Amino acid sequence: MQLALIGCGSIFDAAQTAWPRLGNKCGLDVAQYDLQTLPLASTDTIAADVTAFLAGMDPAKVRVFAAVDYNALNHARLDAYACARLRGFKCATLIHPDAMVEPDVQLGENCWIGAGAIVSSGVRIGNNAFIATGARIDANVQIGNNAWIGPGAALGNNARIGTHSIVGADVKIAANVTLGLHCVIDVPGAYATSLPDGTFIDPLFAFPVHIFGSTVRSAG
Amino acid sequence: MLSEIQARHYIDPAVFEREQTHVFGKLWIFAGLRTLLAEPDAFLTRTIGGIPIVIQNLSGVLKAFENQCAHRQMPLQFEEYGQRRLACRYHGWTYDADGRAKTIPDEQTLYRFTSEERSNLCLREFAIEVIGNLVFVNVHKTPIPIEQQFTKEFLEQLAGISSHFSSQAIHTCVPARYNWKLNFENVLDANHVAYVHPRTFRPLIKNGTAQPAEIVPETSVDDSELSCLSFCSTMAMSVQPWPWHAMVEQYGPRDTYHNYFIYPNVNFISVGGLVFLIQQFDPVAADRTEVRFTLMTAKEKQRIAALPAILWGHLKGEKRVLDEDLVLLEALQARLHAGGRPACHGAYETQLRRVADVYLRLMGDKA
Repeated sequence: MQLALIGCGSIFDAAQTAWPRLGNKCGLDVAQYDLQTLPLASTDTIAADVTAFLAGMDPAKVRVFAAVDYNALNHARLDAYACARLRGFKCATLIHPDAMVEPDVQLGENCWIGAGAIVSSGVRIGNNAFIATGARIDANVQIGNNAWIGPGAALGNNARIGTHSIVGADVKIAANVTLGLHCVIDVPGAYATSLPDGTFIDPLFAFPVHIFGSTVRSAG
Repeated sequence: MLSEIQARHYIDPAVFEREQTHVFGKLWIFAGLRTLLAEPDAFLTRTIGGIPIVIQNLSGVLKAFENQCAHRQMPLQFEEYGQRRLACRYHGWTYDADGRAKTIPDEQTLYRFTSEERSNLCLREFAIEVIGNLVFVNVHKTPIPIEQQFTKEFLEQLAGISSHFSSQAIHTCVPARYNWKLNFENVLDANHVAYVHPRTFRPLIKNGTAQPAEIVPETSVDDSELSCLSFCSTMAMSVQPWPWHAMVEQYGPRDTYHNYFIYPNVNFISVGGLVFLIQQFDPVAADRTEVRFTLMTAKEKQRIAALPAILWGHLKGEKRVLDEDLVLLEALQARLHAGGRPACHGAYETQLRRVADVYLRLMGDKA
């Protein structure tokens, strides 16, 4: 069996570095897997690169892990993940051996739980969602598909994080707060107010940025 | 030639107040996008000429009203864009499509208006014109025809290009510590690109310069027409192809940069007919401007899953270009003083002199 590790950025590097220990905590019997890597220079042609890499591989013998950071609101990683799934490959979820994950946590596929992350009881995480180093996910949080929770971020009890949303490093989301679809909070601090779909809080802008018009939901 | 605009026009609060009535209270001002007002009760709010405005889709018709309840002046709508019936959240008054107070909770027991008082309970309405997907408002009691401000040809160009807008837009406001006129003058000045944007914008220009091929200096710009201040120019640009480009209805030829100047305070650009950015320089004070950014792609031919990411990425790129201007313009504003010399314009700056001529006549500073 092979694990095909594809991608670029911090998670790709972390997964590659931790590989032998990585397998021990995430259900993979590492002794049975060879690691094959495809490091990408950029995500500009990710779908084509993944297709070429997987060509000729047997989906019954290869698990894929798309390891791309939050590029393009996680759409770049989604491109790689979707490409693999469309070709019949199953995707692995990888949990760093230094992460703490409660037994009843529900995890989708192609997820990453980084070193020092704490994922509490009752948490549900969708497909292709990444939880970075040292993040803290409190009880009963729901994280949508294709989300990114950055290093040191914290999500309070019952928080809801929408599809394709990004919670940046050291951002603290209070309990019961909901971030809609395609939201970005990338200014460290505490946030106690829910955000509608398509809201961006970023150091480049003094005021929040909003997407208006056709619902963001229809685009993602 | 020395500019007729003096330093005081950029720093004097009295000049700012006068502009609110003589420029923004007299001209057609861009208010927002028709595409974002398509749904019933969709609305946008703006402040134009110091007046709070709400533009709302009422039974399919766009109406512009003063955004103040006839009761005790509470704004009827709060958000920049939204969808909500025209009603006051303070005491529950609702309004009809003509801006008249429709229902007043407990009217007979609490208010007991006379019939004359009741008939006067209506919102002040303003003139509105929709050019393609661009909504303009004029808050003057007797607005000039919009064809007096913009030529027929220019209106047709605006209608044509704006019809290609997607129905989704990304929007924000950027606070800037300079007078709004400095930004409008800046976008008219293509010569600054090579020095201020050498790595962001200049590399995209195909022939290496943003200057017109011919510069014909005019010695007199007196009595310039208002309508000559709004125009469109194009230049060749290198547009990197992306897969999503094939999924939208591109406007015009590829590799063209479209630059629209909509007097008094809008610069509207399009990169390759694929991405559109409206920059509006809203005066907040003599030395402060709110730069309003609204960006959209061309209309989609098919669903684009990553559209929010595309909009976000492009907006960040445009903001970085603006930031390069901001640094210089804020430094310029900070050092303007009443005794300072006026600008000295070269041959290529004829349009700036025309803008000054029209501005001073609007302000009553010139016959």
